[in-house]
Amino acid sequence: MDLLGEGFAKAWHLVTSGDPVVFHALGVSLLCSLCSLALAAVLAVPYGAWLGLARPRGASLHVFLLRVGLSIPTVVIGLLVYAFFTRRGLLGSLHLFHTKAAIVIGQTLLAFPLLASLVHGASASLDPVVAESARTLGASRLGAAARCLGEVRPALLTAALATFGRCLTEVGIAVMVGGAILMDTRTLTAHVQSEVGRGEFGAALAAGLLLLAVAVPLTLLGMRFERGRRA
Amino acid sequence: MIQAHDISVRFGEVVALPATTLALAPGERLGVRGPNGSGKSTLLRVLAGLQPLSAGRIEGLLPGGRCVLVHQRPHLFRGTPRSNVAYALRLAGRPASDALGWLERLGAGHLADRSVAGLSGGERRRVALARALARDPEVLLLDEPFAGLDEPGRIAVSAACEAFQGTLVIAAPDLDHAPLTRLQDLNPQPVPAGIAAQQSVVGARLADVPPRGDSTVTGS
Repeated sequence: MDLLGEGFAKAWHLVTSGDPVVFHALGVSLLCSLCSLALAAVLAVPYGAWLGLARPRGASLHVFLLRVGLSIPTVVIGLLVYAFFTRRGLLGSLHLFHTKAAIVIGQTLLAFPLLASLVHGASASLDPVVAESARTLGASRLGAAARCLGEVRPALLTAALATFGRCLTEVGIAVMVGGAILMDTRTLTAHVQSEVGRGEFGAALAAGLLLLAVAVPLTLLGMRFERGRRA
Repeated sequence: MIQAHDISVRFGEVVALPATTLALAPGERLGVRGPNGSGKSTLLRVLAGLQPLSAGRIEGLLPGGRCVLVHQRPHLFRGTPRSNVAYALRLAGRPASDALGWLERLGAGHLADRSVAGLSGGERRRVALARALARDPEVLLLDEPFAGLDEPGRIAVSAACEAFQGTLVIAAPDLDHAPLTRLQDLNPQPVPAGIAAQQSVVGARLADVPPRGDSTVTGS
């Protein structure tokens, strides 16, 4: 109990005093997760919508591969990115190892199957009459697809929140390819791991508290979108 | 001029549209009559260019916008009736501010700014028709436009159909309210060739048209 009590006291002090290390880690976490979400969205939203709306031949194989992608542990994705970007790796000459860019690439790989699956699910659930209504009014194929995505907007926002949360809370990629370098590539989750390793329970707990402070409003926002979905 | 020769649609073993031959002249007002499952909706989807054929050939199809289909259970996009009509107007390259006028023509002006989620079936049907008319199509295809409408709704839809200047096709099991010039029966059962006759009833309301034997029938 002492450990927990003292930990909380120290964590509270670090958070309220604006500890630069823990808040820098928060900044890195938010930046990397946002960039990964944006990159993944550029790829996953059109891909998921294509699978769900155009229902191409072999769509079920795509969906199966996406589901497999969902179950890949973050450390395995980290290992893959490591293999490419480490100095001796295929893309080692880009010097991205132990940079935020490497974290973003890894987290994009993590985010893509999740976001694409959710977008596919949302668009496949739409009645074909929705796309036909836009097409018959003269919308192009792309315009009709955009209209369809507009119809499932709350589901898309929920998908984006879930994907952002997944990136924010992962630790395997951040540590393996980011290197958890203090005041540089260290994310909040990597900070928790590093500080616990050093026996600094309070500092780790402070990072945990900040993660919660981000997660709770995100959850509330997600619930609001869910209500909009049912309305 | 749309000309369909022996067109049919199958979904696996299911015949959605039995072999049908049809000619649709510009400005014509055709009623497609037939029981449930006779292929009326499928025929309209074919004419709208939304349904590929399993057999036969069709000429003169127009692209979306020039030929507009109003589905049997129309879908209104998220938002309001006004935003739905404004969408069609934007696609037509017209000012979105005309939306209210189109809704008023269908007696739905008072619904303009309500959420589409709260509209009744009949109200949705009227808004969908206003949206289709706002696109100013050359061919308008209406799938059961009178279903679920009350008397004022029927009068408003019937008047809007009458005022429409282009080619009109209305599909329904019962076409008493429709201002039509010709009828075509769709029958899921094969029809003996002797019964198949062609007759145009120009300018007549369907209520004045004898119920059977007055149509261009091509059963499979």
